[in-house]
Amino acid sequence: MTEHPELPLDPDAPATEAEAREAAALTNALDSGAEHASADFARALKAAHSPASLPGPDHQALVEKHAAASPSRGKLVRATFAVSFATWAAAAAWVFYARYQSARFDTDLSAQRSRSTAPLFSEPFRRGERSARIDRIALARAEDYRGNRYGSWGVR
Amino acid sequence: MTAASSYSLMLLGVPDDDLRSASVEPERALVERAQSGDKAALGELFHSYGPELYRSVLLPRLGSAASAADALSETYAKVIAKIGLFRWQSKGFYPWLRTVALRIALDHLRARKKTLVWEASDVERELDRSNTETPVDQRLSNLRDREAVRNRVSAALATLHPRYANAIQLRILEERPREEVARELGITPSTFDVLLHRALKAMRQALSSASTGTDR
Repeated sequence: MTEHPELPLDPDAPATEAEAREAAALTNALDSGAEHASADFARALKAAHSPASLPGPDHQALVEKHAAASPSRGKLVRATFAVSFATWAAAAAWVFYARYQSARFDTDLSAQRSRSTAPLFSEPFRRGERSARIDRIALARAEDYRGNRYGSWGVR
Repeated sequence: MTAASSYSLMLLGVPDDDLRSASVEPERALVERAQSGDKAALGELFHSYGPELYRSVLLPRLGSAASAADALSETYAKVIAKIGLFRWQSKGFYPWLRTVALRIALDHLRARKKTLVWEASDVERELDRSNTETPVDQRLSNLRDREAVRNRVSAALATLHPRYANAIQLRILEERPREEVARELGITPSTFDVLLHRALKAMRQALSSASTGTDR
C-alpha cells in the first residue's frame, strides 16, 4: 500500500474545513456533471475502466461530416462541360442578336436619308461672318437622330 | 466472412493464412476504392472501425466523451488526407487506423494542462510498440487496448488503502448512489464525500508514480 504524505493515515479521520469544502464541491460536480479537477479525473477513471460506446446517431453524424457522398469525377467533368457550353451558347446568341439589331438599324427604311444642309438656309452665308448656321444644323440633325432612335425602337 | 464461417473453414482444415487472406480480401477492395476517392467506401470503413476505435483507443486514453469524439473526427479527417499513403499489408487496415488515432490522442494529451489517467508519454510508448509488434487481429487488438487501460486502473487501485479503493470502486467505477455506498461503508454521506475526495487524490498520486516508474 502506498503512503500519501498529504493525506491522513486514517482515511476516516475528521476533515479540515478546507477538505470539507473541497469534498462538497466534488460531490456537486459529480452530481451535476460540471467541470471540476477531481470530478473530471473520476470520469476519466470510469472511461478508462469501462468505456461507453459512442451513440449511433453521433457516429453517423461524424461519418456523414467526413465521408458524405460527393459527385464523382465523371459527374464533375460533365457538369463543367454543360456549364461551359451554356455560357458559350448564351454569348453566341447575344452576339448574333446584337449584329441583327445593328443590321436592322442600318437598313431601317424609316431612318432619315443623308442629305444636304442647304434646304435649311434661304440666305447665303459669307465666310468669317457671325451667324447661327451651326446651331440650325445641330437642331435639325438632333431631330433626325431622335427620329431614327424612335424608329429603331418601334415607337415612332 | 463471419466468425462462424471462419470457424467452419478451420474445422475443414483450411490453413490459418488462407483464412486470413480470404477474410481481408473484401476489406482490401474497400480500401482500394476509398483510395481512389470513393466516399461511400470510406464511409463503410469508418462504420466498421470507428465505434471500436472510439471505445477501445480514444475514450480510455482521453477520459472524456467530448474529447474522444473530437479525436475521432480528427482521425477521420487525417485518414481522408493520408489514405493515399497507406500500403496494404496482410494485417489489414485497422492497425494503420489505430496508429493514426493514437497520434491524434497523443496531440490531445500533449496540449492538455492537466493529466487525467493516461499521459502523453504512455501513448508514445504504445506507438513505439505498435511499430514493432507482430500483427494481431482487430478484435484481439481492441481487447488488448481495453485491457491495458483497465489493468492500469486496477493496478493503481490495488496500491491504495482498501477504504479508498472501495470508495472509488463502488461510487465511480460501479456508479452506485452516494447514500448507498456511504451506508455500505458504515459512514454518513458527508463523511463519505470527504473519503472519496481523499481517495481520488490518492489515486491520482498512485497513477502518477506508476507512470514515472514506467518512464524510468
